[in-house]
Amino acid sequence: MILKVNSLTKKYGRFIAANNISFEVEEGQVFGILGPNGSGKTTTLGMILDVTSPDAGSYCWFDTTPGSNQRKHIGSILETPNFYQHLDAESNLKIAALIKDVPYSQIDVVLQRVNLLERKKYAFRTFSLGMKQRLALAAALLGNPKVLVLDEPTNGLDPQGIIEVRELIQSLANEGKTIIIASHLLDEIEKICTNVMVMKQGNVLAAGRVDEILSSQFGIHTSSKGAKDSKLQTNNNMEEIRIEIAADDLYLLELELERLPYVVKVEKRKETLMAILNKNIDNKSINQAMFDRGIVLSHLIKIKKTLEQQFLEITK
Amino acid sequence: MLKLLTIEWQKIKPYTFFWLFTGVYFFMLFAVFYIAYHLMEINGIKTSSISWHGMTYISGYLNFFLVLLVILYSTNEYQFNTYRQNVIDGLSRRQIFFSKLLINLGIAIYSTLSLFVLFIIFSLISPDSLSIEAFSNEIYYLFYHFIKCFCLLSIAYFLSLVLKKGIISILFFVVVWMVDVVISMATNTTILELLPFSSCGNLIINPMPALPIGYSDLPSESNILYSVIFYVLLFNALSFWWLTKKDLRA
Repeated sequence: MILKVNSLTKKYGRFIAANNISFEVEEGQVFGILGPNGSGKTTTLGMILDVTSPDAGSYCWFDTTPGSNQRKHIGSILETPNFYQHLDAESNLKIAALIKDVPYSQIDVVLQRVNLLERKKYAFRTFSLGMKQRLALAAALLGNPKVLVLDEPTNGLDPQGIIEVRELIQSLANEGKTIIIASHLLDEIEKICTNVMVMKQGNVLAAGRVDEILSSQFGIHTSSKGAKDSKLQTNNNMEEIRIEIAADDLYLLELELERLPYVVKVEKRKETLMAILNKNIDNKSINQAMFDRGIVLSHLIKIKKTLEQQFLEITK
Repeated sequence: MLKLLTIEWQKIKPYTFFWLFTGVYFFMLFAVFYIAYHLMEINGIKTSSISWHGMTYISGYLNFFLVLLVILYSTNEYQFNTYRQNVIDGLSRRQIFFSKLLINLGIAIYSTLSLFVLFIIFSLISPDSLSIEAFSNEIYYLFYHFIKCFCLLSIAYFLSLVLKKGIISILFFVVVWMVDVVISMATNTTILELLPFSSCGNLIINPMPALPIGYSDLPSESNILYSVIFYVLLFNALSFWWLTKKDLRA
């Protein structure tokens, strides 16, 4: 087991930033923590990295009692890239290397990996946000750690930078590294992660394999591994099927759709209608039903829920 | 410990501001000695009568300069979020405390050594040769200077940890200092002369006060010394507690 977290709780006055957070990360997983800003992701990561003091709960890295030496084998970025403004890239990495007991010879290697080698003599304060973020990744890679903890690693990057960082993370995952990554970007989690934990206002809403969460159109399995609470959590909001539908006469179509028993709601779009159904009816039946009422459909698409929509719904 | 010093050295080495500050401090100390000698000469006082007591007293006014250095150096780490990053990278919070403790000790030693060296230099170049007696007499004032300086730096360090912002820490330091001195002067109670800043101030009193006031009810010198040592321990313990128990965030 790489990491086991037991009921970590952090309060700031009456505000509960993280409430009873438990999860487990196994070797080789790419574990995503997904949630909107302010949902407690950074607080949770801060606690497992010993910079935020928890009010309750415990955590355990590598099945041993926590200590500062363990963190030398975990490459971490928390929130923003944190470096000494007056030092150049190389000197900043020297400090990180000294702390991690890693030889200076590795500095060029990690700088090369994030494409900053030619900038190593430039002061940190002259770096663009993207370069700062990449330098933070370079620092995290010092000592070739088994585990990476990355908090919003693509935050503030331009599209090119986002792609580069994602490719880097992907290649690190392919090397077998365990990666814990926090993000408010769903497609980031969808593209990179094997497992995901969804957070909202300090609480864990759902956890499991990314494909499970994706495939569960009608609910979410909680904690697939834990087996403590594997019952199906159903949420009324989740039982919605959306179809995009159009015909020559949208007005008539809307009237007829609303008469169907399984249609909950019809919304007007520009040239189509969006119907929300409470049952998974196949396209053929809908088409037949409309045809029976004398309407020929020009367009009919069932919209599959993306992780994005699920996420928005469960964190609503 | 060697590792902690190497890490701090890496931070300080390219830090121009730090070297500028320590350089200017030495220059100001030099100026203080120069003015003192010059004044003695033109007033016909033998320069050999210069004393550790007098010089450590006047130099004490420059301690505030070192307080600024400690506050800015420490609050920078908060502003850059590097205390946090150092811990994330694998330092323990305990090590963070000790590395800064070493820096504060180093600065206090630097100040004491500078005083010592300047005293020797000015004694050697002065026309009246300095007797061994004048040199060895009251040399314990050098130790007083060291412990007083370290005490002020320890208070400054604790304030910088709690307040996190440089300018606010400096303002707060000055306000607490003034309040402390005013209370102990206004009440004229012996025990209140042992407040932190008053203790530091009373450890090396003005050897030639223009107005002979305020010194009548002082606690004994040894009690003042114990009190300063007590504050050194107290404020470092508080800093240790703060660093190991509180969240590391800017």
